[in-house]
Amino acid sequence: MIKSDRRRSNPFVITKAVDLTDEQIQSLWVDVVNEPNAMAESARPASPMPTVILGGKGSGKTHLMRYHSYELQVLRYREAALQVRRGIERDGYIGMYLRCSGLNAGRFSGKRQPEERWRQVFAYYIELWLAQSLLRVAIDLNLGSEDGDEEVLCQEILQLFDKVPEGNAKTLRDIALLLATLQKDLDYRANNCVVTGKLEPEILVTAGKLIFGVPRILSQRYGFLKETKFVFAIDEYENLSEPQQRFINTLVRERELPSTFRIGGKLYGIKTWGTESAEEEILLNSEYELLPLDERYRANKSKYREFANALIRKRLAASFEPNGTQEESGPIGDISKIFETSNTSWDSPELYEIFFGEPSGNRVHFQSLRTKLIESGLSEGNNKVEVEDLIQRLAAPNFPLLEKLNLLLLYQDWSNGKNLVQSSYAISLLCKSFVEGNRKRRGRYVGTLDHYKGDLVAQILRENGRKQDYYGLDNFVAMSAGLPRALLTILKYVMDWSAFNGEEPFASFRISREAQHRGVKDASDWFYENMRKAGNDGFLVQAAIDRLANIFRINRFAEKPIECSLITFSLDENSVNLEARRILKLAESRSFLIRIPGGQRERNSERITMKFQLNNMLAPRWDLPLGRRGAIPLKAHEVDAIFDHSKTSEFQHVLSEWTERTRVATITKRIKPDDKPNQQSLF
Amino acid sequence: MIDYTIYFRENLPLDSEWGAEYDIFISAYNASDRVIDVFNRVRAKKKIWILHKEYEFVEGQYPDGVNFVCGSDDEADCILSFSDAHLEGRDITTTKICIDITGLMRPHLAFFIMHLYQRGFTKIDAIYSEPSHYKRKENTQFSSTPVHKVRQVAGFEGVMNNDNSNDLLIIGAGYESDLIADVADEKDKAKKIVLLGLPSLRADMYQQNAWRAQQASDSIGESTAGKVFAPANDPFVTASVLSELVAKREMSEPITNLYLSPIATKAQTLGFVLFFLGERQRTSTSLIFPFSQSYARDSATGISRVWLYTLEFPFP
Amino acid sequence: MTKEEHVERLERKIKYLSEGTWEHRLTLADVRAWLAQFQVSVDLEQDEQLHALFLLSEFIYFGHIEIRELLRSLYRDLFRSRMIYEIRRNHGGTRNYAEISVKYEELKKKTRFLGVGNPSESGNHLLYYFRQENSLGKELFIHSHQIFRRDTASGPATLVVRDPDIENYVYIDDLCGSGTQATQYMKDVVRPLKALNQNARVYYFVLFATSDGLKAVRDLKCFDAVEAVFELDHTFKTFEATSRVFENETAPFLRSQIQQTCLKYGSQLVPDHPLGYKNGQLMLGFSHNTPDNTLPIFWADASIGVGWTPIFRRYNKDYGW
Repeated sequence: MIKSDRRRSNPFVITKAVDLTDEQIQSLWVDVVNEPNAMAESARPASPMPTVILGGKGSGKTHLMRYHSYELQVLRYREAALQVRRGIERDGYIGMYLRCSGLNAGRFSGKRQPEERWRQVFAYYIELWLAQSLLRVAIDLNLGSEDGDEEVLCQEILQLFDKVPEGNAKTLRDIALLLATLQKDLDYRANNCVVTGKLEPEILVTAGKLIFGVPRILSQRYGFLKETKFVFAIDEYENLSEPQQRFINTLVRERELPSTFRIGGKLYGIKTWGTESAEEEILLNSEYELLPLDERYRANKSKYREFANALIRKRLAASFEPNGTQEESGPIGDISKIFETSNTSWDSPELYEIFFGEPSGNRVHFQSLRTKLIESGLSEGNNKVEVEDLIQRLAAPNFPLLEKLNLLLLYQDWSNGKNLVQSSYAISLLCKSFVEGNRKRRGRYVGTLDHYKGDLVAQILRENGRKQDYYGLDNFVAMSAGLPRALLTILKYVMDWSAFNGEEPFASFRISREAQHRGVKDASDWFYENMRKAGNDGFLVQAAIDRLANIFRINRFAEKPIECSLITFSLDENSVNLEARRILKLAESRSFLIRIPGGQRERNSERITMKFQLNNMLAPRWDLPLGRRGAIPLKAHEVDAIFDHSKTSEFQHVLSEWTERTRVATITKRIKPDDKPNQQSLF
Repeated sequence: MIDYTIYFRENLPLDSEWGAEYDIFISAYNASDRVIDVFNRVRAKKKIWILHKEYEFVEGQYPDGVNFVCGSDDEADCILSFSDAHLEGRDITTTKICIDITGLMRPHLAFFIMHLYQRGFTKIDAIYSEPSHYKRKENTQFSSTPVHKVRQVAGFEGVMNNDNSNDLLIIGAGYESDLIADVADEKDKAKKIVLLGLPSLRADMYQQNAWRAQQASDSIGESTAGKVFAPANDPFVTASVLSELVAKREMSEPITNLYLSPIATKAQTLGFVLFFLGERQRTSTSLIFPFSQSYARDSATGISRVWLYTLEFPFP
Repeated sequence: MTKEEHVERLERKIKYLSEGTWEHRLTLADVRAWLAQFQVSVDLEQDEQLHALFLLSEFIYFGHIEIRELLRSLYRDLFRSRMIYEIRRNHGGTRNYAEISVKYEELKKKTRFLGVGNPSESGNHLLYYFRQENSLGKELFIHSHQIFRRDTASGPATLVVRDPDIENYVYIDDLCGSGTQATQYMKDVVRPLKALNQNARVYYFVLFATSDGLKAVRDLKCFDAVEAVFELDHTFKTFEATSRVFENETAPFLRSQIQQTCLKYGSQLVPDHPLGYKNGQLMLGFSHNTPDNTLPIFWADASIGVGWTPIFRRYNKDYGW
């Protein structure tokens, strides 16, 4: 029934790890462990080296961290009918997953108390907090109680305290209760200090004593824990203030085996790498490793594609499970077939149909040429260009894309001061030859087609009032730029539109281009809006990206694009002004710009330039390409004008410069066809 | 569970004088018609304007009368200072207090009510007025700057439960989808319930509110409770709805940490506060709020309905 | 903005509404089929399809979950709270919940709820859900004719109150547009009732009421209270100068032009009331019904003898509650 189908919940709706139970994480986990460079492998859960896992929203970071946590470990061992202790011994680690958001760390400051006092409170709090999660695991493993030495174990643990707390803790549960009581007391003091005016907790144990000491005791006492790493996995690092992060960084640096850390946070979440020891920072690769999740997914496109496929398949299967079987051969088999795509090859009948059999001379692109020729005065005078003849030479009625290519080549030649008539003959020959089957890869014709095809198709679509082509699963994957959540969001919107369109995607397994177009647009807007959380700076980032994208757009739809599929630029960081640099960094941390690793080395100097690409998710907003090919070096003044919001008039100037650069300059005074041009900007 | 709906909620007439006379009347100035109108109508021995830092009034813009300027960012600091200045030494059982909550910043409103509750005041009249004319809805922004630091409201921090496997965040949702999103993101991993104002203040507002909340759906995730409603101008029903909702959830699985975020009307905010005071003190419950440096002054004009809520403390 | 951009924006809004509070009631196909009945124009300000699409995006619809909630609110906030306050006041302001509860239960037993209008109309349909939502016993619901009986014991038949113990009679309806129905009831039922039983209190509570309708009924001065969960003031009349829809009137969505469009089709669909019953000019619909005070372009169909495809059918059979 139509209505019930429409109301069936979208399988891509849940887009955050938060909503998943342990079981769901386990079942939705897409494990590519057997592959080299696999995600799970890279995380190396048993590694003693602390790892900072950075990921933008929806990068799968939490998913990854939870996957390696004790609760999920136990779930896996049970499924494999493995005793938990044996499982831990085999895997070599115990993960304790904690979230900073649970700390409500915002309360540990101000309230008329000095910062130093808060630092002590926070340190003590963290110690109690982490130690409790450790004890929870120990209790669950029945350490001591199963081994018959619980009382002695507890004694040893109590000795770690600077001041042994009162009471007679004989079991681990007793100690856990003790710690909980201490924490509660600390909560109370911290919360009420504004009314009481005092914040003077008695600190019974200094930072590190428990969280490093207890694992040591446990691994010495219990054989199966001999080689086990105790991994404190602290997620949502961005919820901590800078001094708070400084403290934790210090813990990381001063860790003692068998304890170690994983820190999870958003790209922009690391407020400092500093520690509490005078200006020293924790050192990359010697004191911690970095796992930037987004980059990993981006670096390995084919792996990401496989991952994406598997992820989607799992989602769809989970959604259809109640009704049908999960055969691969079902409609889920080749998911990409569900999405209606376009044919944009050079001989595509779809492109031809856009013109409804309109003779070439009437087509928009040739009308532009005609106008240009007339405006330039080349169509008059003694050595006038016969406009219609020229057009006919460049025409290829059945292949509008080749017509556009021909025009591009002509415009390039024109810019280089070549004789237009001769040029048109040459191009005509190349075109015919190509159509007849000569498709030499290295030739100018094929080479230019290869490079500019995307832009030329985009131009045809735009010039003729059509929507840009972002159709098909491949495009969605490309657009998501390595962010699984972005991919799921695109799919969610696409499915919603398909349902709203009345297409019944679950029954027909066919999703129209219109639904895809709308869904992609919504997803792009979602990305643009959702990533603005940087406050007022967020507006500045958006404004800068608007400017940048406009330049790329001018290029894409120009007569003579400077670079093909342009969404990438490079710059010399040092030559750019402070504000521009700040916004640039912010844009990167918020994933509006993606840094391309390994910037180019300038030919004539030792400078290494930075290279950035516009996040693909933003491409549809400005009709920009998804794949990146060309890159343009931007001059310092251009970067300043784009990223420094105050430089409005400078930006207008840059905009005009670009418009000029990408157009064929027409000179109004008459030029004889064999005159050498003297004023045109050569490119 | 407490049934808060037995408490008096009435309309004050606009076409005749108001009978009650108070010892002290407190209102927060936001330059709106109705807040000024109410200030003039109320009969009290002493009337005081609170001037919130967030509204960014300068001296020349202060209203006539006794003004208390809140210099601090901290809601506890502000209210405690106010209390020292104006409530010191007053008899908690006989003093007749009336507060117009319409212009008060929500965290201050919350702290104020809690403060009065803890000091032992037994009866407080709270007034809430609705404008006759709202500015065009969909793009109404009430907060000037988009930076929101989400933190607990002073006094409403609760006891922290380390186990956050079943955390619940209940958001009293208004127009501002970015506020909703910011709060939801802060408690990213908690289950979330969005409380919508229905009946809304006007018939068209519910649909708009729901739509705006939907725009934050990305941050909210899947709703775990279907739709939950409470009237936009009734703190007592709001408190009862929360009471019932939380009790029901606890029956199926105990809530590890309960976060309450009232970002809809002031009346609803009051409801959240009453629920906290009535049933959630000294538990792992806290009130969280997206704080801004500044706040847009009310753009709505005129006055339509004026509500009087009679708070009778303490709760049984 | 081009027409296409307007259309995309409005269709997107309608999609979100449909997915959100409109219970997935519309598909794009439905919308387009409805729009096809209007004419297009190169001049956007004259483009009827754009007008209709714009109006649709401003429509207010309450789904069945919301209607049920409003029925709860009607009972809880209009009736019950009133009674509870009275009990408290009559008992020294007691906050003793048990005490209040007992008194309220007693009072409830002496209360009867009634629907307004013809038994087949939506008002009575509503009573069923009202009863369900508020867990009220069947015995508390009666028809108007059950208020009285004819006493033939002592001579010619006289009108007598059937159950003189009943203290509260509560009339419930979904929409009070002009107040015409209530006025009729007042004459037929309320005046005689109050004449026979001075202690009886009669209430008229509705989910939605226009300001004019409320005033008309209150002016009758015979109901003890007349209240609506939602009052629809003049800003809800789509083409009044104060209309909320055209508050920030910007081209190409101009009030006068769009009104012309509605009049054009409205006068073909419902000649006597081209902009809704008694010039209601509303854009309001519920899951169970679209009131005829709403602009006819939204609801007119074959049932009133016209060949028009509505977008919000009047009596909706598809949505079982």
